[in-house]
Amino acid sequence: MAQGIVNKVGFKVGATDPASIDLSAYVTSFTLTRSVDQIETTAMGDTGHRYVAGLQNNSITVDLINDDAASAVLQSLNTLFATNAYFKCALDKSTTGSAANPFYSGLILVDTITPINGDVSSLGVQSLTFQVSGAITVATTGTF
Amino acid sequence: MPTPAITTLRTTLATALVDNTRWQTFAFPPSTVLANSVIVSPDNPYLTPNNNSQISISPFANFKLIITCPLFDNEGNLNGIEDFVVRVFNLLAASSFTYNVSAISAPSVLNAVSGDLLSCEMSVSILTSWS
Repeated sequence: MAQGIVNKVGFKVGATDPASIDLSAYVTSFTLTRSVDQIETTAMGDTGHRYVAGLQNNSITVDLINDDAASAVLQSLNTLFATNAYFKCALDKSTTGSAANPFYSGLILVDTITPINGDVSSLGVQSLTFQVSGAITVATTGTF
Repeated sequence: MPTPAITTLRTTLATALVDNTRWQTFAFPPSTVLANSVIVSPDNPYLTPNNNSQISISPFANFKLIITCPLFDNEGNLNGIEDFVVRVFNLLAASSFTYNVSAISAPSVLNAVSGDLLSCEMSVSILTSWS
């Protein structure tokens, strides 16, 4: 995959594994942040700080059009609220998994939703950040 | 909630605005603008997609509703255009559209072939679908 615009992101959620509710069409912005804690291992004699990777600390920030149809945004998130939900995401949902287009999956804690959000002249949206619960699995094969 | 198709939206909107006791309704700008008319005209931008290439996400269609009444005297003109604007707004409210009226222009004199008219533009955005 070469350079390109981010307009094919795939995002699925669900109560069971694998996540099956495809919310991709409602996504207007998506950020997957992969991070690990920094564990300092600096010791006597070191001339600079030393670190090793600690636990993963990942998150997903997503803007969703708040469609109220069944299996769309509003009802799905209302059902998953206050649970650890399965997720799957990809840079390009239309192509198979590869090193250039890996599929990321795991659990997110659906601890915050905004079922009612918007102003009088625009579409209702939900702008959410989910903390990933546990580690992220990265797959480079299969389909979205 | 279902949204009307783009290809039939102008006529659907014009039908919703029919009031034969007050005005003629046009789903397009007529060649000759007459007094006592409500004209559905595309605004700019005509269509506003809400999510890039996603075909299942409803876009907004933007229209100007051009409302005209006869040009008599100042008070009569304004009374007439106010009555029309209120009636158009009521008809929109009674419709099944998901819409937003964002502005109503100041009345102005329109020099039409049929004579001088008083006209007013109501800007309305309607949620529609790619069909």
